[in-house]
Amino acid sequence: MKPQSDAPVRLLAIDDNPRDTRLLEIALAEVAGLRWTLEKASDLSSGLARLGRGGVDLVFLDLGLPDSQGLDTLDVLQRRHGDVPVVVLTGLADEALASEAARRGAQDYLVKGHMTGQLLQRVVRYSVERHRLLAELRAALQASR
Amino acid sequence: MKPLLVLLGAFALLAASQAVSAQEASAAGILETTYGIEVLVPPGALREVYEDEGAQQVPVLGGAAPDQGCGQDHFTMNQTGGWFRFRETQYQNGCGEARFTLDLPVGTSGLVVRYRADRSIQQPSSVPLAIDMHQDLHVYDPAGVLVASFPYYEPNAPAHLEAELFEYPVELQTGQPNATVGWLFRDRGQTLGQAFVNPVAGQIFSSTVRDASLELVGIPLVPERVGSERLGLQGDSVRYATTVVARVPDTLGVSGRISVSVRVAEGLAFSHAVGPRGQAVDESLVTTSGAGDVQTVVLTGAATSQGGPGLYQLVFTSSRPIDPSPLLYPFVAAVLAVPAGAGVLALRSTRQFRRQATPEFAGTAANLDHVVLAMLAVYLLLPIGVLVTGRLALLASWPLEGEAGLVYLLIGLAFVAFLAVGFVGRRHLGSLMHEEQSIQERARRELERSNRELAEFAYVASHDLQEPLRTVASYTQLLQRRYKGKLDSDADEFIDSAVEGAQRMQSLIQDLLAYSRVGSRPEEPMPVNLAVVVEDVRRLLHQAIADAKAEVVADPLPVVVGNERQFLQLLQNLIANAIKFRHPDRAPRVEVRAEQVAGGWRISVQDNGIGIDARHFDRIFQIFQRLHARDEYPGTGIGLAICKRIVELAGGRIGVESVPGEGSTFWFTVPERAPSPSSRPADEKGTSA
Repeated sequence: MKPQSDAPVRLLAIDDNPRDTRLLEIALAEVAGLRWTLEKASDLSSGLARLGRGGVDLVFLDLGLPDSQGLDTLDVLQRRHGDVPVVVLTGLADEALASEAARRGAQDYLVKGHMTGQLLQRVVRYSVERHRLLAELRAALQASR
Repeated sequence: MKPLLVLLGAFALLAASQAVSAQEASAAGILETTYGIEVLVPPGALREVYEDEGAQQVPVLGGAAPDQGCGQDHFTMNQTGGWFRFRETQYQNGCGEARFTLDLPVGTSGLVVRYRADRSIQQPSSVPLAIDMHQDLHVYDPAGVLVASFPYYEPNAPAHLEAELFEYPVELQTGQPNATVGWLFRDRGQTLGQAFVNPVAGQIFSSTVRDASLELVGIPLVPERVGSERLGLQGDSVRYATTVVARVPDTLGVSGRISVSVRVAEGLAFSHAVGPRGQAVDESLVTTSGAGDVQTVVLTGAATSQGGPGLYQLVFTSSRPIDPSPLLYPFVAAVLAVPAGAGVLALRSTRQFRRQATPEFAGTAANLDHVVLAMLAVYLLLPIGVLVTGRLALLASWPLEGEAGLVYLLIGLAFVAFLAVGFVGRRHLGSLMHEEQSIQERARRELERSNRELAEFAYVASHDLQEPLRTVASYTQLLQRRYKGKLDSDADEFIDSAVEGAQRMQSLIQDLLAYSRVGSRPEEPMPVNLAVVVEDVRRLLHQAIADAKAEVVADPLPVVVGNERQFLQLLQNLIANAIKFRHPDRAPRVEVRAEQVAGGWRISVQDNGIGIDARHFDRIFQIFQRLHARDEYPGTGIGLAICKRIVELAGGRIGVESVPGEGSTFWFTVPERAPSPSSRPADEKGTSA
């Protein structure tokens, strides 16, 4: 699916800390030239429920949720809704965690408290784009068999 | 153990059988034990008996015939000097008898009466008179019946006879309790009916009996009065003493003259005699005689008159050569060998213990080992001594003679001693050591547990603190970005302070987290090349090194055993500090050196920086301790605390030497064997088994 460039990017933040989500919102607001909508879910189950209704372009996933911890959260999300790109959010600046997350399928890795508008812009744009490319690639491979 | 017990049992049986025969042997030498007592008739023991033979008609011219028999006034008994005398002072008839009764010891088989007697007849005129003077020895049975009569002077014996010695054996009835003897004096002349034509007054007939004694012979000794005693070794023989005890009864009221006669077999030699009061009897007063295979010893009356009545001991000695039983030789060899074997086993036990001993117990273990070795060496002198002095036969004979008993006792003691020291002692030490080890182990685990808990706590706390801190930092930064200059200057200042404070708290928390993470994931210690680590640090700090125009050099550094990441962190902190706290007047120069010390290595990082005052030496290694204002030098003061934690977890020590204004040298030690008990529990169980 090619998103229309002027259609707003539909974002879903799954995070149990509303203040952190608010910071995400404020950072997003600083991004120039990006139209977006942000929905919020405070735990994994409600997040999965929302994804089940479709219409989400990018998920910001906090790894420290009340009903799931760590990279297992990512695994569950990928299994259930692998067609939606995921950007992992965490309070720890851990390289090992970052590479592991990427290996498990996350598009990017953001450290809370170190999010700027510029960084977010890149992350959102590239994550969506990369995910779309990957999907096209898979479809092409599938068709050629 | 079992074969030993069987051996002991066999020996006991053998010993018992030999003991019985030995006992019989010692009593076999005494053949016949009887003794005789010679009893002196003391003057006071006699009693007078007068026999009334009826009145005799004596034609006496010019006088009436007396009608009494043996009258009192006609005979006198002289009670002095051990003799008695009959004396007829007139021509009247007379008779008198002096009797003596004697209690006989049980079993007395014979009686011999001895005495001296004389006779004297004095006639005033030369007219010969027919004289019929009788002197008889009478013997009476216990009922008073006359059983024997010995005339010792006949009627026609000469007028004067001086102190002739008479000796008469007397037969006794079996079990006769007493015997009575009497000396009779009778003048019968006129009673025979002879006509007494010329009565003559002043005739004196007298007879004196002196030195009378009764010898009791063949009194048997009561069997249990024979005793046997082992005197001891003399060369290759054993001497025995056999004692015969003769009781001289004091009921006879005599003061002496007892003969003791003992017949013993050949092989028994008379040694000496001991009187009733324990006094030795003079050798000259004892006579011995031998006939064939029989010896007779007589303790003469002279000896016993000195000693008096009571128990007399005659001591005989005999020799028996040591007779080792061939059956016992193997036993003796085994008995000598057993403690040696026990000693060798004990030595092996202590050697083994010594190998297993921990350093604290190494000295004690060595001492125990030496003690057992010394004991073994000393014990071996015993069998060597036995063989060299030719005493093996002694050990193999029964009953145990002389030193044999002592030797066996020593062997037994040695055996017990080896058991005690080598096994019991070692076991005791072993359990002490084990206890010590487990105490130390417990302490170590406890310390480790608390360290771990502390680290966990620090980690969790700082981790949980980070989230609200992040919120504060983020929102204050937002405030700063959006409203700087839009409120008044106070507000700007307030916001700046809040932001700064939050940031500072964040770095403190992060540092605390880093500190608590040190050693939180213990890894298997591996060889770490410190030279390579220094190279890594140089690369990591290359920007800081370049900016400060610093020089970092390293001597040849060893390969140590430990955690590579930790060593990297350690050296990085130290070298970074050396560069950071540089002297303003000169370019920083950092030297890393290594020195081998007892038990490991001593690594030092020396700089030419600003130095540290001695009173701060301990403080700087504590968490968050800084010696300078925040704007002078950056940092939270966690660097050295982390270094200290790393070093101490590796089992080493850390410290600093410094001269303010010249520079500092930070050093730390790395032990040879890194202690990591938590990662190797299986190993520990193995060594303590």
